[in-house]
Amino acid sequence: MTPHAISVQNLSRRFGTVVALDNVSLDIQAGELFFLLGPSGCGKTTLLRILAGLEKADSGRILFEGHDIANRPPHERGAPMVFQNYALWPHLTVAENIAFGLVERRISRSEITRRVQEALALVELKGLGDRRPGQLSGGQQQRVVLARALVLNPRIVLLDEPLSNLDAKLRHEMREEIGALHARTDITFVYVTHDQTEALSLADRMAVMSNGRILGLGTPADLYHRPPNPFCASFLGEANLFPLRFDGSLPSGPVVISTPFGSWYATAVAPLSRTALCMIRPEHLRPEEVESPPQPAGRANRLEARIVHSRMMGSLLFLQMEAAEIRLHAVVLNRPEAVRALQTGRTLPWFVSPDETILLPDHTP
Amino acid sequence: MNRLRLPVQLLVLATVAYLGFFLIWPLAHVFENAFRDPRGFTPFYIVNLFRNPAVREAARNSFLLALLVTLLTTAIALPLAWLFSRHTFPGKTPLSAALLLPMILPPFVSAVGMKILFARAGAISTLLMRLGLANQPVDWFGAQPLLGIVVLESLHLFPILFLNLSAALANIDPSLEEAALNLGATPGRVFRRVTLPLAAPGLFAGMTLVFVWSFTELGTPLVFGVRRVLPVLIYDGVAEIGSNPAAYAQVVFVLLVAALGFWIGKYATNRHRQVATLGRLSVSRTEVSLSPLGSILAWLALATLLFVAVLPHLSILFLAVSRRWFLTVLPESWTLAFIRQALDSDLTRAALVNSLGLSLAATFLDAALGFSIAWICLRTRLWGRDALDALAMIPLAVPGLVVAFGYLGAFGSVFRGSLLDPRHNPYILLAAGYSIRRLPYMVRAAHAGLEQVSLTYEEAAANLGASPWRIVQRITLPLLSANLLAGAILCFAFSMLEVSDSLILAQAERFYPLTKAIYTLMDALENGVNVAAALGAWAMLLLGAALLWATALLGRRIGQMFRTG
Amino acid sequence: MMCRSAREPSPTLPSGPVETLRILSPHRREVRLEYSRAFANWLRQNYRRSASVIWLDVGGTSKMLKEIESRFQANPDSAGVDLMFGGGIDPYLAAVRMNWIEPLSPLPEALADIPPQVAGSPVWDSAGHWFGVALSSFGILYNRPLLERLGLPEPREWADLARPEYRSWIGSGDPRSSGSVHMCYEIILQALGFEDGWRLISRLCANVRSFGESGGTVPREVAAGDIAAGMVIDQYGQTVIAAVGDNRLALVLPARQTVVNADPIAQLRGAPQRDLARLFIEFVLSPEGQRLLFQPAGVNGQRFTLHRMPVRPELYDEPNAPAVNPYTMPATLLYNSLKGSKRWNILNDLLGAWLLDAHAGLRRAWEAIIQRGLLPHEVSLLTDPPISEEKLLDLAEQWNNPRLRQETIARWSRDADHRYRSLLHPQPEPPRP
Repeated sequence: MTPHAISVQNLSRRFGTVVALDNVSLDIQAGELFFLLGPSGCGKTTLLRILAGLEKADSGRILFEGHDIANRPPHERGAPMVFQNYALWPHLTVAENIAFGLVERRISRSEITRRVQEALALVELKGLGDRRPGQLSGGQQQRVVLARALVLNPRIVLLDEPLSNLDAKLRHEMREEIGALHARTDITFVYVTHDQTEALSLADRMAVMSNGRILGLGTPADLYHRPPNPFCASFLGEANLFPLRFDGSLPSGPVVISTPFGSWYATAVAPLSRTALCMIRPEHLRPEEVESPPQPAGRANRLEARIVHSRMMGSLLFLQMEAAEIRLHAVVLNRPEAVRALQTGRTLPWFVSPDETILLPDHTP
Repeated sequence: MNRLRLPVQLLVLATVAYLGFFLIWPLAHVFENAFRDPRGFTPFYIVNLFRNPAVREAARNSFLLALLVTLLTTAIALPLAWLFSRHTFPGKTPLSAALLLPMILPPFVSAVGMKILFARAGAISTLLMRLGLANQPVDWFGAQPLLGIVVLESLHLFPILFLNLSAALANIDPSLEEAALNLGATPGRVFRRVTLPLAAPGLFAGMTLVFVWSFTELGTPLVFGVRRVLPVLIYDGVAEIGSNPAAYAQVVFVLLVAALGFWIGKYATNRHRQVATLGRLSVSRTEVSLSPLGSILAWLALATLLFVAVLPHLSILFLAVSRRWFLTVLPESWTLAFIRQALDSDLTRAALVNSLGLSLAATFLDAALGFSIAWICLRTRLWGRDALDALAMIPLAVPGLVVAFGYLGAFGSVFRGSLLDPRHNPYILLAAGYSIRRLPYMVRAAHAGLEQVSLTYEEAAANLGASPWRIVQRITLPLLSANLLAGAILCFAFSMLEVSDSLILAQAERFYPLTKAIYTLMDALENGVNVAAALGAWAMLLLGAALLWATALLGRRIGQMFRTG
Repeated sequence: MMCRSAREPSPTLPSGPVETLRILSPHRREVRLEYSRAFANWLRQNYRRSASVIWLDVGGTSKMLKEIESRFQANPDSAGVDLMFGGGIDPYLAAVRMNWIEPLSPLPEALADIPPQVAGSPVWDSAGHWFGVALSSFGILYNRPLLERLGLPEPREWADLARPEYRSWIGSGDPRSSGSVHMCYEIILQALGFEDGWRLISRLCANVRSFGESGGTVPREVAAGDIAAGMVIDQYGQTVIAAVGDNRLALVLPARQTVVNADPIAQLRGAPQRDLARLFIEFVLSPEGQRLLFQPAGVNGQRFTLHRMPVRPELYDEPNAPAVNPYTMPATLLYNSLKGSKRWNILNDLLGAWLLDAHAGLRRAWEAIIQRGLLPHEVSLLTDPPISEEKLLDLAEQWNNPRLRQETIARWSRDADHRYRSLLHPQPEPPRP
């Protein structure tokens, strides 16, 4: 078996009384576009900086392709990083910035020139090599930073919130570009972000972090549809969550459970006992007047909900509803018949399919 | 700001007139006289300047001196700044304050102490002979008097470079260094390829300041008896100011060198500054804490440096309380008589009163002018305000020696016998000279303060009905008070210890400021050196307290006061 | 800020306003302070007038002369100063030639008691231009324990200072700024003749550790032990001896090779306060004024002992008077003040260019010559007078032409540099004629 590109084992790091990393373990496959996602302060940047060697871990091991590199200084790690604020050296030109790492690797002058030109072409900045970083736009600077890392033909690239300094439109463009760049290479990307859209749209796999721990690990679809805990459920997209109590215990998989709306078919992500949290994504709640339930109808979970508030947002309708004293959100495609049917104040029948009715543990480990 | 237009214009006019009269005109006079003799215009004296080997030697010595001082200062300040900006260790804060100590005495006073300490029959020499390490008295500075000056001026000036460099290093975004490490550069290479180029503005600014300062320093060579440097040559030429254009030519040369050095520093600073403000400080810097052994080594190095730097000051204190210090390690006997004498002889008391009065006058003038200029530049859209700022910065490039010489030449000939004639009464010109010399520092202090005071505070006040004048009074000035006060303290302290103006302009004893009194006392045959040292000790106390106060007010930003760019 | 006038005790308030007298002087501070105080008292008691003296300090004697020249160039009618005081006779002869001095007529009454000559030198000018106030002699000050420690003999005459053993242990001020230093060199030139004198001075200067500026350099450095010996004016020597102790320092007057020289005062042309200036001259020549020169600190309110010799012969009988009475000394060396004054400036520049400015080269050459065993022809090459006495006196006539002066100085400096450089290497012995 080929070793993992990166293997993190039992890594811990404290800053004073703050625990930045709490016994974190993680394997990243070669060639993966791996995301570390979490709110600020969750430890994701610390983990990335420890991978780069810019921070030291208090304990634990880090293996790059099977080799322990925990004691290697940063300049020997060979894992170039894309810094959040770019960290382009203002006293060097764009080309000199890109060439920096090559110069440190004692590569011949002609080779450097060639590879810098290639890298500039790769990020579509041909002809801007003689500019100073300050003369480039934010998006262009971002490409230079990418080129500076990729020009080294690394096995691993680390990206620290690379899009956070860009405006919304550019961020979208660059997101696509990073995805495309990754697809063209076989480099392992470790990408830190607090923006779930970036992670959900780009990641091969991702780790959701909070308070120095990894709370979810898997593909974006898995984590979105079958979040392992309430934190992942609410951090990745919107979620309707309401607690349930029952006697005894439930296995993981399809189950039947009694809810304020009656007896429902649901899917449990883990074995549960006595309590659970029911999660329904807003887009999974569907109005019967607009969309007929799938056959056989008996397999769908039904509820009556009163529309408290509705707001049109472009292609979607956002609804706030109340059912059995539970507040629910729903998102429906903005079609004329939907607008007609979903008037504020109406009480309507809704349904949700059993495999979109998810039961979670009611607490995050 | 429409309602302020007339007052502002009057203010600008007054400021320009003041600078024009007390700075530009004397300089113009110097230039005019360097190119003129009774027969009219002639480039003879400038051309002939270096045909005189004595002048050549003086110029060579001055350059060498300034160069060595700059190099030595850099060699001391660079590692220090790196240590302090990238590391933590116990006692760092008090130590960084202690590093300002060497500035509290003009080097020409500490030179007296040094000279006695390192005299042939002085304490160090005697100690070596007692220890059997030398069998004849060692003539430390007799053989290489330039060396003494270099050491002394470097010890005096390294804090300025240290402050400049520390600020520059602190302003470097840590991620720029991390990126270099990350891309494969060893720490040493990171320093050379990233840190040093990015700190270059601060480094250059500081080095320029040090170079110009030591190139034009008059007092220290005078005390060391080194006559073959340009400032002393010019000082000797003061007596011939009406009859010999050669001194004017020398002054012009010194001025040009100083201006050139300043311009080079400024140019280099600007070139880098255009690009150095990219992005924001993203990561807070994590300072490496030194290991216990590292801390001990750092402590040892700093203690040695401080001890050496403070040694001249200590010897001044010794000298002030000692009787007979000849072929012995410690003085033969102790006395407080000189300390007392330093406060109750006619000369010293008049000098203290003069210096206090003149420095206060200069300080008030500077505070008013400095605030006005900074305010005009930052808060009005007045045409030519940048030129005003540039005008106020000119004194940075004009050595005190040149100002004083210009005053003596210009005011002494045109306003003969009036209160503007330094030979008749130098008070006005001394105050003007002090204020002109320190004005840039005050402008900078006010400038830095104003930049930190958000415009919105003033807009809010206007919005709530305050007139522009009331805004200045109720919002701007109170918010700026710490900066202005700190600037004023420094301005006062350095005016108290201004050397070349005082030495050249004050010719009658009752007009002597502190520094000239000290210089005069050093010349006295009986115990004059001791009384001079005692007076120096008092000055040290005064300036030390002032610097501490200013540091307490400004904290780390004190470095801003000494920057050229 | 109000300036505070010099603080003199004022027991009785005189009726009139305070007048100010401006005096240019190279006298050291202690001398100035004593005269300020005593003159104000004397004037108050005898004339019920109140005066304060403003001493304009520009440095040594040469700087004083340059200052006067500069002032007269700015305003040909008046220098704005009343008196020049001190610096030896020669500068006063120059000042008379330059028409800076206004003779006093009638002559001060006190001159009745003062002989016109002492030991062959004039004390006052019969035309009333200048009047000697004190008498100076010149000698060698040396540090006894230091010489002992170094194993060097105590000097007795000028030539001792030129001995190679003294290398780097001799000091000197700058004759260009200090009148007393200049006098020492002029005395040697006159005592030994120009050529021999120059040769001695060259070697003496080659022995010098470093040239200070003022006449106070040598006494201070000898006292501090930075140098072992040097030439001084008597009053400076006596002052440091009194301060440090005669077990450590000693002053010797080389027998038959030194002079007694008057230290004059003169009223400048266009003096703003002529009346007061004359009173000051009367005062300094009066017995009361003369006693300031020697009475010890503490007597009659005196704060500093000035260690000087008065020009009034009768005062030498007083208890505190100096031990040596110059009026009873035989005239051994006849000092030619006229010659000295005529070449004052050019001699300064000659010494300056050849020995002071080129000092580093001179020292190195001297060291090299000593190491090669002091070959007579090399010593002779080193110390050859660069110009004959006649030529020097001729050139002195044109010395107020600034271009000629600058160009000549530059040439001298180049020649000196060349000579000392060449002597770093062995020189062939010239063929004997």
